[in-house]
Amino acid sequence: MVTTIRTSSPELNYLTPYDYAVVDFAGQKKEFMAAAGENLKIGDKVKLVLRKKFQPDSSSLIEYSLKLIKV
Amino acid sequence: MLIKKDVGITSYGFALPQQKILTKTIALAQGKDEGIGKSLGVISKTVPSLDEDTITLATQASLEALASFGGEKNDINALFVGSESHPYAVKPSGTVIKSALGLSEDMALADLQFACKAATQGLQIGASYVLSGLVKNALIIGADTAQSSPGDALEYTAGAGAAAYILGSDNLLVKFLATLSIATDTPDFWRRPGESYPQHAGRFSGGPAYFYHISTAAQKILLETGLKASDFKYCVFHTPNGKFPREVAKKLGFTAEQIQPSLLVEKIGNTYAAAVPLALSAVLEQAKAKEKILVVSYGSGSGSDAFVLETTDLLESFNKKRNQKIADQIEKLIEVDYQTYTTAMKLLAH
Amino acid sequence: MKITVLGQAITSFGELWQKSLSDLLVDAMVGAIKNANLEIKDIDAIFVANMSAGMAENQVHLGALASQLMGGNKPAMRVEGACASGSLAMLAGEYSLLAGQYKTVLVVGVEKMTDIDSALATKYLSGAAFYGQEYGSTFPGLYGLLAGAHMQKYGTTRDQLSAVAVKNHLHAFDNPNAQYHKKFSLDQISQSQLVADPLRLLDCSPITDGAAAVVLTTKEVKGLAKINGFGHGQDSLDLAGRQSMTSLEATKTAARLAYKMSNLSAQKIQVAEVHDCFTIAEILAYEDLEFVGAGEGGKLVATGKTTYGGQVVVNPSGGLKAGGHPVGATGVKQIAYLAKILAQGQFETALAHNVGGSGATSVVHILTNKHD
Repeated sequence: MVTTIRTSSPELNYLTPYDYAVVDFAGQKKEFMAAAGENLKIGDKVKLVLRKKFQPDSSSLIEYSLKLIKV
Repeated sequence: MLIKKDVGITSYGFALPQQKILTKTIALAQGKDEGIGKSLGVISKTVPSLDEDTITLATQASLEALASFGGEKNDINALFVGSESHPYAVKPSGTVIKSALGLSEDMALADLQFACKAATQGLQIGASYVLSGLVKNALIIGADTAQSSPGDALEYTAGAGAAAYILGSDNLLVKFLATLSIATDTPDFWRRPGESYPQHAGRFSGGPAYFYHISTAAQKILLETGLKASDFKYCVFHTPNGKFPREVAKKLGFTAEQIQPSLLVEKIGNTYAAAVPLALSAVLEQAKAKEKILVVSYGSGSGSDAFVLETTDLLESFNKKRNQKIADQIEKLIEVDYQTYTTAMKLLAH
Repeated sequence: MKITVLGQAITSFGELWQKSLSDLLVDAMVGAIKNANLEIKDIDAIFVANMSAGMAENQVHLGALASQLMGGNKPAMRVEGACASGSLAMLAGEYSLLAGQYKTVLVVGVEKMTDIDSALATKYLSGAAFYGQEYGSTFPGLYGLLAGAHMQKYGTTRDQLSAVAVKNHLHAFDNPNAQYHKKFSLDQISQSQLVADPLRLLDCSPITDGAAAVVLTTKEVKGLAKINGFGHGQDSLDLAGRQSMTSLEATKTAARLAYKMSNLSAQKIQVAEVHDCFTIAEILAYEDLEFVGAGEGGKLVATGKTTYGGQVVVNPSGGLKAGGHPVGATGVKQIAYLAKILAQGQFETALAHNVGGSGATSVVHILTNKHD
């Protein structure tokens, strides 16, 4: 299942529109954001990559998370 | 230094952003002549996504190297990552990378900086760790998301990418036969803390900087090993643009065929600390067994690391099993406009 | 079981910039007590439902706040379950009555969300999901995934989603406190801006301030609505943890329990206030509450079966979509609104359906106003 999120929380609005999907990992389902600029549709094969979670300000620690890209 | 014991590359991987911008697009945006790119020998350069940085690229390259690594993850007990765009001024990129990779807590680790030669210095350091028996395997990464001032000449070449190498002493794909380094205080390129963009010394970056150090290091290692240009199948020199490496190759007696496979710079730009590591990967992807490669990097400020490498019988079968090839990734790069490029660059600003 | 809704009050729902959180609490609580012909001394305890005051106003400990505002130091507690906070507070009040701990209690739900920037409101609302596992999701996004799945499996159409919004906006004209008194055509809904594909702006309930309160008592009072049954269903917090992506198991469970407790079936329900946080949510509700079979929800609304003259009048107040959705108040408002119209004699059996998150928590209440 895939949706395109066009409006989001303040720290993520700079990435909109971004895709968000439920992925089937060999039977187990998990949800992830797609990497910036990545367009997903139902049935795409995907893999996880490390990306910045959101743009940090100039003094905070940078948070990273796993996001999806098409294989 | 001639290396008497076995040490070398046991696995390698790379990562490139998915986007590129044409130098023609930059030139038009700057109101300059479209042909600037041609004169630099660079047609396009890679552009990171809005959520990529040096750490994410380094992690991706390392994941690829790990995926093909025949050894034990927990035996990787040294990690050195070289970059000019580490996301933190204080706090290592290396620890975030090793955490993402799930590597052992037993780890000798530091971030390195020496402009574009930070990662090749790391290769030498990693090789020393292995040779001394301090570790079984070392992970060495070169990664950059290079910044350049809009309108400056560097804007046409400053690119992004990463390459990772796992070094060890057995199951070698490539053996290190010799290595040496030189360093002088030659300020051709620098950036003070708090400054967004580097300064560079124009034409001074040529003769006394790039050419002096690469030629000197190359000639020293050729003398030491008793080898000449024709003994090598390939040569890899640092690629600040498409012109300099060709020129220095010619000066040193290498042919266009020997250097051509390493000239990714034409399509991906100068990926700074990842430049020589990526160029070497491109060469390794097509190399066969028992071929010698001369690698000489250049880091502004200045210095050069030189390596004489030889491929083994294991390289070809390793290459067959790899998932991705650099040439394929480069073909798939998606072109973006100047607006998209500047938005991405702003997010990576210091 | 005999629990009577002795009194109720619902404030205006909307962008109430002149009203503070405390103002809203007082308006609803005082209103309900007055409507019940009681005084504060007659109340044994207060249950407060709210989701976001801790984030938006740095105000937690709302039980204590409500108690102070009412005077009399009545024992009070805050109950939270995201958008199901209101009905969970109802359950807490009901359990206390059934346990014999109290005889008459006040349940109030309140939410104040329009003083903050909408991107920030989106962020706080996303706390109703599994923050760590669903980072980057928004509520329109999660329900967008559910809508996409329902459309793919059952062929539910864009117009069927729009039909929910059109109906609820028409119904809202009967509710003087509704946030919107505005008519829409199917096309206006279908062509509004995309928010999280396939959901559009007019598929989404608004961000709203408001409060609602009810007085519950164990005394039976003729002519007033009684709570006959309730059920509380639970499912995984994250969407990925659900067995089905085309129904909310928590609602199915809550409905089964409520029907059993009240000894009624879905067919007996004449009017219902369901949780239409997004148009797809109402379609899912028809199916999960057993008004219609799986996949048939879209057709039910599109053929006019869920408005006056149909099978069951759903969301006579305008629902969340047109009535407004002050998160913590909604579950209580549903009971209050149904109690009011049951007391007026228009209907005899009603159902309230309140959901938390993307379907993790679901509470169903059944109210009747018959002589049995």
